[in-house]
Amino acid sequence: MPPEMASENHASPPSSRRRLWRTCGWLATVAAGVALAAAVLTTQPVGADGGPPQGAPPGATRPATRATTQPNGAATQPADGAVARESVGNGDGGISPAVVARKLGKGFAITLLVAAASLTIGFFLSVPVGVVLNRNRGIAYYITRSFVDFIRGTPVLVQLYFVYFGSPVIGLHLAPITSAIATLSINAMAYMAEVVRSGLMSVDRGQMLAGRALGLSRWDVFRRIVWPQAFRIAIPPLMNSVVALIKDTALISIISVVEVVHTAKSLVSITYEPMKYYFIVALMFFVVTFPLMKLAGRLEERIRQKGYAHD
Amino acid sequence: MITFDHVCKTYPGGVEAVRDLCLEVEPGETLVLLGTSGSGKTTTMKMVNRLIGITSGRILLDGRDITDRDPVALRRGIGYAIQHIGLFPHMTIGENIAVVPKLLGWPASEIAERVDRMLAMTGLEPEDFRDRFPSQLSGGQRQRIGVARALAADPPIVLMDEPFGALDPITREQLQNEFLELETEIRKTILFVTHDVFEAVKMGDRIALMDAGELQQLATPKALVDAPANAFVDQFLGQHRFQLSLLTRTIRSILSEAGRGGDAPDQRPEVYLSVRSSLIDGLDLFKRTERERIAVYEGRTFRGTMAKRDLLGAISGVLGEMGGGG
Repeated sequence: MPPEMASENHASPPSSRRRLWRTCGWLATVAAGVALAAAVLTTQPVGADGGPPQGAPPGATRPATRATTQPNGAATQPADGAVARESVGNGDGGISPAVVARKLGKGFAITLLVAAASLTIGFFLSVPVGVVLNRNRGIAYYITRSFVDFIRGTPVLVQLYFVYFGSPVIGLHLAPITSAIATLSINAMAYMAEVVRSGLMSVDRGQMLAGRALGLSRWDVFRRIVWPQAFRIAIPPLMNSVVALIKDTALISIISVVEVVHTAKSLVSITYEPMKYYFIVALMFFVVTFPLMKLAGRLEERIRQKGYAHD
Repeated sequence: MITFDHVCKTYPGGVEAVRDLCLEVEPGETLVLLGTSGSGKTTTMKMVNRLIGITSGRILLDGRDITDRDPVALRRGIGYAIQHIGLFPHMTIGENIAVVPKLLGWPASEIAERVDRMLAMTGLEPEDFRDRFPSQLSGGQRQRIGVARALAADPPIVLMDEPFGALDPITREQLQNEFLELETEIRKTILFVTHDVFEAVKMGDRIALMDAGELQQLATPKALVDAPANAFVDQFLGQHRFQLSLLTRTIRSILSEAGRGGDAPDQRPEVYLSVRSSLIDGLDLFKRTERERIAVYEGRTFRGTMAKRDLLGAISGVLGEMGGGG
């Protein structure tokens, strides 16, 4: 018996279950916080961005500071605090770290916003699609199956081009960011639906029978019996899809969405320092994806210990 | 009361699972549907709460046709105990038991009270078990929870689908005994499915033996064992006949011969037999205690004593009958 069970004796739902939900809530909060902080950063007047929010800056600011040792371009913006002192020490100009931080921060905010929007839309679409996939028969199944397979079997890059350049042909003039969100949503939907399907499949069929025999409606059987069990099993692979999708957002720079990679590209074209800027961008992604990967691992471990997967 | 009126079930593909079944389950009785797999016993049971639809004929609950009722509402009024897969692994024991009362909208305090009572009734300490998960319980404990859940909303009718099937023999017997005792208190109308003839004889007031979708014989355990209606029943009982004969004879019949002259203690002694005990139970107890005479009770009421000599006489009588018949 897990120790957490033995010690607590609440009349209300037990702590272990709550903790799982709390973890998910915490995760959502952090994601929202990061996006929000990044968004706030982008709207700040340049001189005032002293306290960098956690989304991009710690990784971004410091290498950027060192960058000023290179003589490049002209210093356009005054920066405050330590950053300013270092820049002044070099004396020769180049793009100021504050500008770099602001530009990359703004770009990364777009990245996170696109990722968050696509993940949210994709997840909510993936649940009904996963349910249909789990049926294994019927016209709806074959249509959905083909669609999901097609999405999963074609490059995201091609899908982006298809939507962005293809939409005007049918009279839809989608903005780059709209095309990006639409494409990535559908992509997330396809991968997550597959995860949802395997989660649903792993729930014992006897559970459904038991639920119905006790007098639960079909909807109640799904909502209270099947889905909670399927979702717990699906959480770790869903997290992996989240990570994959966040990384895929880098691709949308090619349809001219001004996200972080696009920003880095233009900085590189001015400074000719690809290693530095792309490494900063890589770090920014890693700061977000690493905790998610860790969390996925921990949740997986916990679910295995609890034995939710098997009765 | 459950009435089967010329009930037929044909599955898509043409398999006739149940053919022209007529049967009445009396209020408060335990009727066992007995048969091998594929005999139609489980299909018969699942038609009662409309988990499986009827092809033709009618099933009535207290005179009302079940097809006139909303299946979901119907099922809430019928308890259902399944093999251990039926517990919900993501819910605590307390939540598992509370499923149906919750669906029926009982107030929370009443549900909590009911959960504790059901746990106590099935011999599990509420404090210990309420907040555990099914995966933390042994097979026997889970099965008790399954029964508790089926009875939680106090339904007049309970369906039991091989509820003790997945247990080891010792635990199974223990649970059977506990359930028999519980059942004399709660008096439900029970439809009990099993493939185990010993379980059928032990649990059933009457047994409906089915084969290939048809009712072969409907009788009390004793009548089934003593007078098989046809060659199939005879073959089904097979080599277990002698043991079954002893199982289906209660010691009640030999009490008078044992005499009621014994003292009538107010307190039930530690070693006693119930009047419902079979000859085998009696033999077993004599062997274990090495006594010559054992007190017999019905519930808490003293009914007399039984002598070992009389029991052995009754057993050889059964043997003689069988020899004479064969």
